[in-house]
Amino acid sequence: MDKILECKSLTKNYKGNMALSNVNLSIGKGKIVGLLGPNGSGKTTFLKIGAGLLTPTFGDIAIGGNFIGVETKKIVSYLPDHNFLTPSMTVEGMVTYFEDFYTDFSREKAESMLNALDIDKKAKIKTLSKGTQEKVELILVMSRKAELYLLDEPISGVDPATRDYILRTILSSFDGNATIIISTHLINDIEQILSDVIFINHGDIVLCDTADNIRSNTGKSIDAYFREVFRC
Amino acid sequence: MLKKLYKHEFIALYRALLPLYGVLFGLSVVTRVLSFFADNSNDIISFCIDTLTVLSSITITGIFIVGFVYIIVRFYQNLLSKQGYLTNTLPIKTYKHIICKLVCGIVVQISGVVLMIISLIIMFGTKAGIIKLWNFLLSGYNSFSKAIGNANTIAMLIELFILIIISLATNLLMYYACMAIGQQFKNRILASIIAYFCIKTATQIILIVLITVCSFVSADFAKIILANSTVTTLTQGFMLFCIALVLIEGAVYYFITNHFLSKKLNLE
Repeated sequence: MDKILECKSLTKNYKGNMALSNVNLSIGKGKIVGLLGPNGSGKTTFLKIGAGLLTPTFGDIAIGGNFIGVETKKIVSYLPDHNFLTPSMTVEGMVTYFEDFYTDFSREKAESMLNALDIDKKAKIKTLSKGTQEKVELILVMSRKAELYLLDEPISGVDPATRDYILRTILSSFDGNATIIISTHLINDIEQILSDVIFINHGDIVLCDTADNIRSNTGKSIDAYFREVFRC
Repeated sequence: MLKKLYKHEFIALYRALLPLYGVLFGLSVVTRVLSFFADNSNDIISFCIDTLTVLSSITITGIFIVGFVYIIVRFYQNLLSKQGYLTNTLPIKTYKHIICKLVCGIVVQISGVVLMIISLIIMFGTKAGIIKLWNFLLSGYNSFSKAIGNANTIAMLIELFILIIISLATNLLMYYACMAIGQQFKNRILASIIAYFCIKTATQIILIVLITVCSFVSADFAKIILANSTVTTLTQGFMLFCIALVLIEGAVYYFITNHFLSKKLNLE
């Protein structure tokens, strides 16, 4: 199977604090991968390196066969755990911004999702609630036809009803060729859509397997097994 | 895509600065309109004109200060704070971001000067005044031309203009370099300020060393140059030397900025 993401000895050290430690990983195309781990385990660091926002201390990471750069940014759609929207712009302005810079962005898809969630396109970002801003961010990111989606906590700040909508959106964007890596604490909510699972702790990959294998080998749900592995 | 990058950068900069430009333009027009009634020696109108003139002066100063500060803040916000999560994931090379911000920053600063001239003309410009100003500029040009040996005055003015533009660019690039270094540390703003003082000190030391070495080593060389040069070649040589010096300084800041943002980006 073709690989969309490969990393070798990937290490990130924040001035003495090892966020990622010698990570070796291959992720195939057409997967929905849950990147799961407790706080400070290295999930966000891993996704940021994939998006090109952090430089690894050591090791290599390649996406679609290329090292991080313009070519990988063309095929990676990244949803950070921070609000990246420009407060003074309107929702429509942000849609235009994405349309201007990403050739794989679908304005139609974005507008249809904005309508479905009843978000005013003319509204300025700064006038929207935190939850609505997160919805706009997710809509923008998922309206791209990317090869790899890196979603950092995509459902943490929204209500359960919207959470269902978002998960449906993620699934509808998944066409079999794309790969989605989702980092979240809300395992129970996303468990049903995951094809693969990665457990990460203290910057180390603890487990990397298919969701079905984990369930059949442990006799537990991913959520229950996660609680067992990372029990405090 | 590059055109769109410039489009969004200009929109972002002018969205913040246009209200200030509008205030200055409005003040200028009102001052001019009131000045038509000032002949009657009406104290209230004279007071209003004086007040508006002071306000316009404050706005002009504000446009330069706010404009410059906003260009710097915009660089930080757009590349190194939360918005950087989007900007740095756009499929655009880092150097294009830097050059785009640099070009737009220079244009915004120049547009501030143009606006200042326009507003002064609106406030005080009369036909006689403009003719007087034109004659003043013409006599200044002639004096300048005479001073540099009646040759290549246009070339000198072009060089002067280039020097001003390069100086504006170098000044902005120095702040960009400070912020690019600062983002390596946990407290980015403090680290950027420390980087500013370090860069300033290092630049001063390098300049002093350069001047000392030049004066020491090339005393004889300078004599030869002075003996074989006219005023024109000397002033032109000096101007080109200044351009080269500022250009080198700007290039160093550019490479520092590009290196830290492309090879050591650290958006924690």
